[in-house]
Parts: sequence; structure tokens; C-alpha cells
Amino acid sequence: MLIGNSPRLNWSLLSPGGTLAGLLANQFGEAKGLQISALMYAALALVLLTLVVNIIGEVVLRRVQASTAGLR
Amino acid sequence: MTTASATVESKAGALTATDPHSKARLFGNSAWSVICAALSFLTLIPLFSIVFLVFQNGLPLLTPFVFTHLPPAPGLTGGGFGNALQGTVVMVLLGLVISTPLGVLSAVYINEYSPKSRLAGTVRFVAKLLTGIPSIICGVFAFSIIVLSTGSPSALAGGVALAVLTLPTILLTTEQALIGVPKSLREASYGLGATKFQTICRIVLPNALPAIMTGVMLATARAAGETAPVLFTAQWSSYWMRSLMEPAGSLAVLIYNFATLPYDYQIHMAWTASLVLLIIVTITNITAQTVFGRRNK
Repeated sequence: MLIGNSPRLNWSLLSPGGTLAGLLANQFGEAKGLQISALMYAALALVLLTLVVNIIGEVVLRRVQASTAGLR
Repeated sequence: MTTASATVESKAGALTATDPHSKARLFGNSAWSVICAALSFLTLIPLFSIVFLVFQNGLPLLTPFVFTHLPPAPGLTGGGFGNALQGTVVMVLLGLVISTPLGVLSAVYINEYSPKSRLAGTVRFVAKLLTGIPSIICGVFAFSIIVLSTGSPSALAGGVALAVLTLPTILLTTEQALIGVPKSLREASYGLGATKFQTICRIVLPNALPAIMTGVMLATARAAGETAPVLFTAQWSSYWMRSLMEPAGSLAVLIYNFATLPYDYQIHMAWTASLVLLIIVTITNITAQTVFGRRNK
């Protein structure tokens, strides 16, 4: 809500930008037809992003647990 | 184990090579303690300032009146958020009715029936991944399976979104609760001739119940406060909800909508709704930790 939800590409941290979640929150309610598909694509990007980060986290966690398994 | 203690000793030996009572060393140690204490106080500041602001701005409008009346139209004053409270309660309960049996029963399967199977490992892994998924994705999911197929936003879709959101939490806490039940209890039950089903129903689940309920309460508190999953699945309605198939208001969406309106009264109403939500979530959390936490010991 606070980022400004601006549909523009900006490299400055001080100018309004947008987030995937903000885009979905703002537009899904009134979306029709092709816009729904486009928003679904944005949701897919968001899911893949979080999945990749979470899977990396899980792999790191398992590796740490495997390496400290002898200590417990 | 032996290698670990050996490395600890060698590290301690390396440290004592310098003077253990040197002033610089003692000073460094106490300086770090002070820095850590100061930083942990710093983390309390956001929490307390949020609570303070919500109370300061929300208390003036907090009367029994707001719980029984419909929200005012933009620009008008008077009215409350009874329908939003109704919507939140109905959707959270609906979400729990769907996710609690699913979560508890699958936790029973992956912990009691086949803990080492590939299916159990997959379910555990997927549940962990699901807890990390942004809540708005749960909304997108419920939107695509319910709103698109029934043709209109509904409280049912909001409930399903909240069910997806709470399912992994309930599943994982239930699994931990089942792990916490001592193996000797199960063995005693089998020794008396009970079947697996009888053991689970009469021994394992009753013993794990307090911990399971704690998980359910924490999931409830989280679901009540989430805006994103209900934002476009239940959307918003300014009227009392009469059936599960029509759009419904909720406290979280009311706060989201009213906080950005240019009217003082609506902004204050959003603060009051925040206060009510804060109180509900706090009471649920404290109940979970005291009532069920104590019996758990």
C-alpha cells in the first residue's frame, strides 16, 4: 500500500514502484478476461519466486542438519 | 561427539593463549552485552508504538454501537462495522471447518500410519513450502477455483482462501503435537490389545489435543488478520451477509478500504476496526498460550 503502486520501472529507491502482491491486490477485484490471465501470470511469477527461495532455504537447512547430526 | 568436544577444547585453548583477564577482553565482552540488550529493546519500540497508535486513534469510536450497525457511506458519519465483524467470524470459522479436519487427519497419517513413506515426506515438504507462500496467492487460488466457476465473489471463496492459508500451519503443528506423545503410551495401548484406530482415537489424539488446539488458535489469529486472501475472493459488501454465496465484508478489508478514503470519520472507523482486530487476535493468542499451553505441560 505504501510503495505507491506505480506501473513504471524505476531504479530509484525514493520513487514510487510496485510489488507483485500489490498489483494482484489492486487489480484482481475488477479484472475481466485477458486481464485475469495476465494477473494469473503475475501470480505464477510470485509463486515461482517464493518456491525457489523456500526450496533453497529447505536445502540449506537439511545440509546444516546433516552436518550437525553427530553433535546431537 | 568426541571430535566435537575436542574441537571445543582446542578453541578454548587458543583463546586462553592471550591474557583471559585483559581489560580489552572484558570491555569487549560487556560492550557486546550492552549492544545486544539495546538492540532487543529497539525491537520492542515498533510493537509498542503500533499498539499505542491503534489505541489512541481507535478508542474514541469504540462503543457497543459500532458492533451492531452497518458502515456509513463515504462522506457520511455514524454507523459501525457489524457486517465486517460478522464476515470475519463467518469466513474464519468456515476456513477452520475445512482446514482443521484435513490438517489433523493428514498429520495423523504422516505421523502414525506411515511416517517414513515417500508420500509422508512429500506432504511434509509441500506443507513447509505452503507456509512460505504469500497469502495473496491463497486468494488467487480461491478466486480461480470458486469465484471464476460460480461467477461472483462470495464468503465461501473467502473461507476457502483462509482454509488454504491455515492448512499448512495446522498440519505442521499437529504433526509436532503427535510427535510429542510418548511412545510408551502407544505401546501400552497396543499391549492391551487395542487396534491402531483405537489407539489413535482414544490415546494419541486426546493426549495431543492441547497442542493441536494451540496450533488451531494461532492459525485462527493469523487468518482473522489477513487482508490479501479475502480482498478479491469475498470482496466487500456494506450490508449484512445473508448467504455464503454473496460477497461479504471483513474487518481486514474494511481497514484496507477505509484507511485510504479522504474522510476523517472513515479513517477513524478504520482505526477502531484495527483496535477490534488487534484485541481479537491478542485474546486468541493469549488463550492459546495459557489455557492449552498449561494443560500441555
